[in-house]
Amino acid sequence: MADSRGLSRDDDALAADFIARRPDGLSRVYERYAALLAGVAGHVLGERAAAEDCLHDALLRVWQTPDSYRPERGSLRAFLVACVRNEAMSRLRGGGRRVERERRASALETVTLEPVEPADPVDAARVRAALARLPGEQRLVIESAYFDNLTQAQIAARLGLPLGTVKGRVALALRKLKVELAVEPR
Amino acid sequence: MSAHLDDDAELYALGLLEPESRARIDAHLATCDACLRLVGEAEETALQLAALLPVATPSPQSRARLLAAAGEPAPVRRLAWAGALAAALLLIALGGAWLQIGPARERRHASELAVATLVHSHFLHEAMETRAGAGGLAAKVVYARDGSWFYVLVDRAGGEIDVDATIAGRRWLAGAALREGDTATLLARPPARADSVELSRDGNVLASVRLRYR
Ligand SMILES: [Zn+2]
Repeated sequence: MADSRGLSRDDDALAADFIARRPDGLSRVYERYAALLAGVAGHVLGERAAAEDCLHDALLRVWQTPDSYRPERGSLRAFLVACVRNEAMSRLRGGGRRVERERRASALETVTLEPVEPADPVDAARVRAALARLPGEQRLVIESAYFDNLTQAQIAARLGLPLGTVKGRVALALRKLKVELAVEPR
Repeated sequence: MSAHLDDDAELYALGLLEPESRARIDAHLATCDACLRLVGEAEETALQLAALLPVATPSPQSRARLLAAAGEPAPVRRLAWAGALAAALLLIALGGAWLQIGPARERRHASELAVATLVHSHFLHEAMETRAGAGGLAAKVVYARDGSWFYVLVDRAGGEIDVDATIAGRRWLAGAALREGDTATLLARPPARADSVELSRDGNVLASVRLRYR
């Protein structure tokens, strides 16, 4: 279950095709990860059209940049999730009115949005439990950063901390979360 | 040679860095496997957080658009062609009456969805209070008792209408109302119960209403 590092054979083959930029590489990656990636973008940008745009740009950039991903980094899945999240956060931060206009212009898409499916409930429960074991102040920065999509400055303001402290605390919290995720549930 | 990463590996993985910082780090990662592994580890942990997010199903069009942009043709394009051919044959069979199938179909989809939503739920409604400068605009919000959706109906819209809601003190952009002649509608599914709904055009508020869940 906890296969954060262990890549499945399928994922390995997929990554190999992707790295070699074989003809089907991108479409197979899309088939396998699009739902996850669209969920990540959607969580930040709030709606389908904006999320799909974000996904499009992020994947295209990765695909068209040679050596954008190397297996030494970790799994392709984790890398792509980070790419999409970074692209989405940039859009959220930098977009301002433009993003707002785009969101409004795409309201038709809002209407036709299919209901979202819940993520794997077993996995979700495990992650929730790991988060719950973090010290309160660490859990708070992770939640502010990842689930509330706040910037470092916004987290600092919310928690009344100096910016430098936020940076260190976020990093510490994520490392601690990694440790907690490795703990087998009792 | 740029500096090794410190806490930036984690910030990178969580999406907390500005594009300039990321570009600098990307350049470093291309030459430093130690830091690449640090970022990769942080990304694996961040990936686990994504397990708490709902997944979404992107539209088939967005897949086709991506693959076309990437110059990856084969299976998809063939499929798309088959679909287009079938659609063309259907159009011919229908005597070309459905030529506006694109936007018209979307529109029908929206109203069908609204009808289905209304028929299958318990809802309340409130008339919206118009502000000075709203012209002859009149509007009403129909909303689910459980707060899972609201449906804005505008008569004499007089142009584009933006719809916003307030949810737990925060602003939530519902979108632009869909216009049909001089009326406009929007079915929205807010992430949580909307406390109020507001109509505006070019940033000027036209009407608003507080929703009461009795
Ligand atoms: Zn380094």
